[in-house]
Amino acid sequence: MRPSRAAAVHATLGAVSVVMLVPFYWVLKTSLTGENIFQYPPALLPRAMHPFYYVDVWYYIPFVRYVINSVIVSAIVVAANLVCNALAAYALTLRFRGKRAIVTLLLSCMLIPFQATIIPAYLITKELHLLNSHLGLALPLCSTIVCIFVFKASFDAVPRSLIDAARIDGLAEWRIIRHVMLPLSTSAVATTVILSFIWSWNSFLWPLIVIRNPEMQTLPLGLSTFLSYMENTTGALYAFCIMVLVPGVALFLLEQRRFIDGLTSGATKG
Amino acid sequence: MRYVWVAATLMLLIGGCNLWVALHDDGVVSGRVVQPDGQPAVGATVSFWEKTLTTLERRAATQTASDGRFVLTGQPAHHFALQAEKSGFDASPRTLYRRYFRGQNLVLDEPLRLGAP
Repeated sequence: MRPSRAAAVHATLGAVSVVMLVPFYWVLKTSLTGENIFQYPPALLPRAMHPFYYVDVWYYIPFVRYVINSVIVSAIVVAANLVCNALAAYALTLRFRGKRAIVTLLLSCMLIPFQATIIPAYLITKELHLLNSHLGLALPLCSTIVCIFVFKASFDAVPRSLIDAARIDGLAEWRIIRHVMLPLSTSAVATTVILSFIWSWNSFLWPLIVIRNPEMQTLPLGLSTFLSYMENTTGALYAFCIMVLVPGVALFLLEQRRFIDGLTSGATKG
Repeated sequence: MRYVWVAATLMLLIGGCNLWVALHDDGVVSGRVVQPDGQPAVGATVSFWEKTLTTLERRAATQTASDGRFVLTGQPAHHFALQAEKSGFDASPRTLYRRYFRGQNLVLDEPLRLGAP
């Protein structure tokens, strides 16, 4: 690529990045200044910054309780996704009758929105006596089709000779997954961890339906409750948003290289 | 390795913050009350109002000493208002204050000023 063309591409990408980052900057700025978001003309730079809105969020609501609930649910979801999706994806790398039909079924299930299945999901959770519990909160997200295909793409890239060699050495199928497939699929593991964590962390509708006890609320539900209490306090509300966002963003920044590798693996094959 | 460093740094920061808070959270609020002409207001009543999500609730009160100074102890609220009253004067405006953490010891920079009768 010629230098002038590269500069133009970078300038365009930089401009697009700025446009995409402006809302985040605005939320951060408002959380530190509490200014009216409808003020005209808007102030581009923050004035008289202070952290007191974060202090308000910390003390006015049981923020630590919400964080603990969200962490527990996310940990269950991430662990369950790693196990269930890896097993399902490994099965889809094998040859068996009806494999195409199962793949088609899984892909078509991705078209069904969660809202359409929420009543059966609620009834199943109720029958299992898991309403108002961490496990009940985690249940619908314990396996996700997108992550199954992320794992499948990664497993498909593992040479068959390695798997055959492991079988000849006497490894059971689950040990092949544990000791051969997963170590060679770190990008898929990272992608699954990040995606499942973020989906669980941001989940709102399911906790809203399943949770009755305020002590069991997760962060998005807490945010909603907080909004109902403090609808005039823009600064505290935005501070809460930042506090909810930080763990997900931090996890992504720590694992972004593997995350992108995981999502693009298999994309350039053949 | 990054996870270890990030976790260790966070633990260090949180530990340091908690230590600082533990050493400075007696809940002491001190300051002065002055009359409209700037003279110390002796025997004025200073009320401490805790700001809750929806309203202000009166939690404590104290009297100023001969130099107009007052000290309120054991008040943990991080968001509160103070108001001074004395017979013969209008009450001072109810002023809101914030603390960085509950029970932070705080010395008011500006005195509470009673209004002219």
